Amino acid sequence: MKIKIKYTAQLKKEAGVPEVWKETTEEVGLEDLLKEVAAGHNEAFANILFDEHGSRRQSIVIVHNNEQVLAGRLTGLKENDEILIMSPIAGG
Amino acid sequence: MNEKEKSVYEWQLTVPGFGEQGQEKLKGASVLVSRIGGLGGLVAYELAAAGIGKLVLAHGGNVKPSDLNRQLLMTDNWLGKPRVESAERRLYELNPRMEIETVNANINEENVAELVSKVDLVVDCAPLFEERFLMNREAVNQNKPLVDCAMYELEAQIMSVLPGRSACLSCLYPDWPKAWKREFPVFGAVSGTVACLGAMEAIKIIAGLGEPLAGQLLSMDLRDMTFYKTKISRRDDCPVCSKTQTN
Repeated sequence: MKIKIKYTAQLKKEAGVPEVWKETTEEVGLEDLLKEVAAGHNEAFANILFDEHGSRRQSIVIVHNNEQVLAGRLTGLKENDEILIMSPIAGG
Repeated sequence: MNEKEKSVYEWQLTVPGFGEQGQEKLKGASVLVSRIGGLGGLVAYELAAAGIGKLVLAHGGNVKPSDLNRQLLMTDNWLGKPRVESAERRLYELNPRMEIETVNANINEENVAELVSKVDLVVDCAPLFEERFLMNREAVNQNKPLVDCAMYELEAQIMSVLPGRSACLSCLYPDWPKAWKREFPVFGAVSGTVACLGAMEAIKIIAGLGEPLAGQLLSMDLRDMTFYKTKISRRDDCPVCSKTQTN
């Protein structure tokens, strides 16, 4: 099935596109999905998403169909679902 | 409320659920805004226009040419002079009835507790997460509401923190956002947009009007005018707010 992956802020800048479509399965884990996503972009994108040990940075907010994904678990993934990966931003 | 005040606030006194009671609450309230650049400057300006009683403004440094695309309390004839002085001057032009306390410094470990203790509500508009996490921590510790505003390019977001009742900034960002860089692209119209929303949140919380964005992150992309809300949950292991009880 295909799902839409959207990016915000610095992730969108590094990706060069606001969103991509990804072929995946219902059972895919969040970490695996994010690694697949990062593999399609540059190193700077991956460095925003993952730390030097390859762990997902907790300051990246993941949203599935308008609900924050906590504890790294994606549940009920369906065709055409939307995953939003939000890069932290501040003021100025 | 005197006749002058009734006249100035005439257009908002008739807002359902606000009225003279809400206006009196604003007049009796104080707000810390840090910093007062593209975001905070407009937050302060809208709060001054609405009739807030007191503003505490914290922002270090002098006005630079690169401030002037978005920092609307700064003026070209104030280049090289302290930002807080320009802000105070401009705010008093709009509302000479309010009290303003200026601090020519950014939020830091030494001043944050005292500055937060002086006010009823905090609006966080700082560009550095060091300052933002300090304000969040101290607002939660002192049980003061905090409105968190942020922006990047044509995107912006806002969330309100009601200590003990909703997620705080450390629930949203439980680790340090290392990817964030101090300088970023932005239009003044973007900072102004989220600043007006931030001021509205502050007014709502102070006056008890409507539903604040507690536990909800409002995000927007002005490139295609997409607005969306995401529920943000409190984290059981949050080092800042997990010990704070609901009140």
